Amino acid sequence: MNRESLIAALQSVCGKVIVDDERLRVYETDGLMAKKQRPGVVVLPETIAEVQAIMSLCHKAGVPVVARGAGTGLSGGATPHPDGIVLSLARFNRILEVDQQNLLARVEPGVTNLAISRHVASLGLFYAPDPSSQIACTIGGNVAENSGGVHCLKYGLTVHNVRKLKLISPEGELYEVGSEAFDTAGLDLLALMHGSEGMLGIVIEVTVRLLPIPESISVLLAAFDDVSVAADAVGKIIAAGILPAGLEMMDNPAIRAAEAFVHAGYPEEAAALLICELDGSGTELEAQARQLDELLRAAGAILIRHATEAADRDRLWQGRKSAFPAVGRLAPDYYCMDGTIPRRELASVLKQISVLAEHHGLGVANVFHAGDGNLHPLILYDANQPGDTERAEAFGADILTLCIEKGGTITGEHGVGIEKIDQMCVQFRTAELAVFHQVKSAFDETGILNPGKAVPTLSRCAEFGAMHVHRGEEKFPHLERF
Amino acid sequence: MISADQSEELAAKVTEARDSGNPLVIMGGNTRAWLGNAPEADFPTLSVAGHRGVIDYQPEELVIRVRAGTPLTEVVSLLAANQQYLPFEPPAFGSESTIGGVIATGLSGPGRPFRGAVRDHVLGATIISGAGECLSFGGQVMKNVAGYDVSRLMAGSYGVLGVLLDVSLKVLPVPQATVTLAVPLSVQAAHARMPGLSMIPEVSALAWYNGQLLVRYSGTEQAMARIRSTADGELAEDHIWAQIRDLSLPEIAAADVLWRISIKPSASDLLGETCLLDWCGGLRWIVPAEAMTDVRAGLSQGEAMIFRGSTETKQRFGTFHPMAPVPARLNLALKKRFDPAGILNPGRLFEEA
Repeated sequence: MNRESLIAALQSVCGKVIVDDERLRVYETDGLMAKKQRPGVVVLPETIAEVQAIMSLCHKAGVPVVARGAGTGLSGGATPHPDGIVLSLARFNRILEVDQQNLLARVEPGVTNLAISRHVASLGLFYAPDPSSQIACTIGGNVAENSGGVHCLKYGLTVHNVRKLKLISPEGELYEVGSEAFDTAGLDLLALMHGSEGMLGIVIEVTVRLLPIPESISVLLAAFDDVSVAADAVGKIIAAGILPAGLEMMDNPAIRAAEAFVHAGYPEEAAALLICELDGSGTELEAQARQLDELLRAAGAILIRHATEAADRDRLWQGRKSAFPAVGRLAPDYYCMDGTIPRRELASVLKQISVLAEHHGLGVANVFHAGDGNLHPLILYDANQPGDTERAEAFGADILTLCIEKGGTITGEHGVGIEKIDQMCVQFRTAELAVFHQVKSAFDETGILNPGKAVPTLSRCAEFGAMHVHRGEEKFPHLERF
Repeated sequence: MISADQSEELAAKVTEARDSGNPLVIMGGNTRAWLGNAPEADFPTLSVAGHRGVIDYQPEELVIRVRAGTPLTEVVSLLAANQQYLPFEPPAFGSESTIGGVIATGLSGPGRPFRGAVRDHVLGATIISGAGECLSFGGQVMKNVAGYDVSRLMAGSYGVLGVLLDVSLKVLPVPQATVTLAVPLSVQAAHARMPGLSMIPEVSALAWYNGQLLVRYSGTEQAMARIRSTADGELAEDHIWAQIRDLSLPEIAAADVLWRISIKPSASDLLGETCLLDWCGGLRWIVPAEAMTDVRAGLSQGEAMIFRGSTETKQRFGTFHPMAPVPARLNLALKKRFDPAGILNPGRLFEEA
């Protein structure tokens, strides 16, 4: 089908079809700015029936479909296909039902993550996963990427907090996986859908689990004069049976950058900072915070700050939450990595990252979700310097290989998309990649859903791309990145 | 603790079955063979019981990697010695129950609404596919979005996709203290109280049995002391939760036919017929007076499974709740891709014709 007849066919089933160059440009990237691809057509359906008709049409015509929420993803999961359409779910932005009896909320996929928590706050409830882009990212995108956030050590990822999905198959059929009950017959398709990056089905409704808002929250900030000592303290907290709601770490370059940027009151001379958030009932929380304070001192903390009031807590968090833009001021460009390693390897991996930095001749600042071993090294470089981009990419590839070597993974929460498709060949063998292709074909036999993403072809791995963040050119500069 | 790696022998047997087209019945400790659909014929057994032992366990990582044939009791004691536990509280149906069976049947205990199900704690798995290939998915880390989440798919798959070799599970520290309180109430009155109670952060299980609402609280010593002095109910033995988990309560254990209803917790369906109500109301165990009663027919929503019953009962009503057409097709499509020769537990979870 040529573009003109495709447009005409789409216009006959969907009220809002974008075809002009100027408006198509809005959709040419997601949060992965380095890869730009102008889509042929963008459709913005408003009803389930419209989505079904669009899918059925594209299925018959063999036209690739890339689903898109807010386009805040960092790995190129929503980068358009050159011969395909972008299916924007932005107009599906209603919260359909809040079920207080069963602590569930039924929402459309284009609802933002934060909007759910805001909507149910007056009932004393919240939706737990909190990716850093939560003010803008949509719940449909969260399902596609199995998004995490700073509180997943205690509250889990998106997969742990979604009870049911309504989906549309590539053929245009409407179906459900999961239910309002705690389990359903058959294979766990609900779990499989999470993190499938829009390649198995189009999410058209999400039923999320709500939790009671904790009575009180307590934040401790601990400074260390040695990165290894800080890393070991993380293991000691967990070993003591304390399960913090969040447990974050920053190294010295990240601390200095954050302090210079937002003046959070961080000790600039510290080699590492731990930020630990506890939540629970008032008196017990105080006791636990005291226990944690003693533990951190015994583990070698040189300074500890403690905050319970919202304004003070925000101040302790502020440096961490603005770490990405703060680091962005250190160099013209940075490249954000997203590997995960077993916690016990934290100290040794940090040491090796600094060795790699020297080898590649580039700077690096480390911020990470220490509680679950999810690293976000930020590689500093200057894209205008010949060879710098290649060196940054090589450095990044080395870090991901290191993560795999240590028993970890190439992506903890940003997804594979097109960005890390090359590293998939490092993490998985041909036999496993073949199974991924088989899984895909079970859901999407003709391969029209987001083709070319997440799983590399067996013949050759796609060329490596990168999350390229150029100073002043961030796609969503107002979003926190952590 | 016995440790033995039999993955090569097991893979060889699967390859042989693939080539000959003769199906296998996968077995661990033989404590769950009665669950699900009975084998279509007298197929030979593939015993995974000898493939056992803990591969890796470092308590501060909150992860244990263990071979499928390892007895559940061994894993539970090892974790307990380190003040940790399996948060999904899997039932043991005898001391021979293995981790492989726990994962394959995907059954979670009373803490499920609060701490999550089996699949929520699966971080990685190694399997032998029906093609005889050893495949590794996921890993030993909490956050991992590389590739489709095939390892979670193993939970509750009844062995129809692959032979589980080992699994990595997220574990948690045991709460400092636990208190169980019992309140004499009818099932309807107990059910009505459950949504309110589930908002209390310390509540870690909510059930009703034999005229009593049972509330389990878990947390710090200090919090439990407060609950003991302020919360409603008489102090009861914590042991009741193990009986609920293992279905060893007298009426349930003695039942020839036992139906398991998984339903939206607030639903009122079959409350009057419920023998044991668990999961804040979301799990209902029903012992019909007549063996040949179609309990499923009395449901307006939710799903009914014949948990225990004769082959005749299962065949008459269907063991598992029927799936809707599209999910049924997708289940079958996955089966055909993981096990093209149809040799792994054929028919155990759904009809494969």
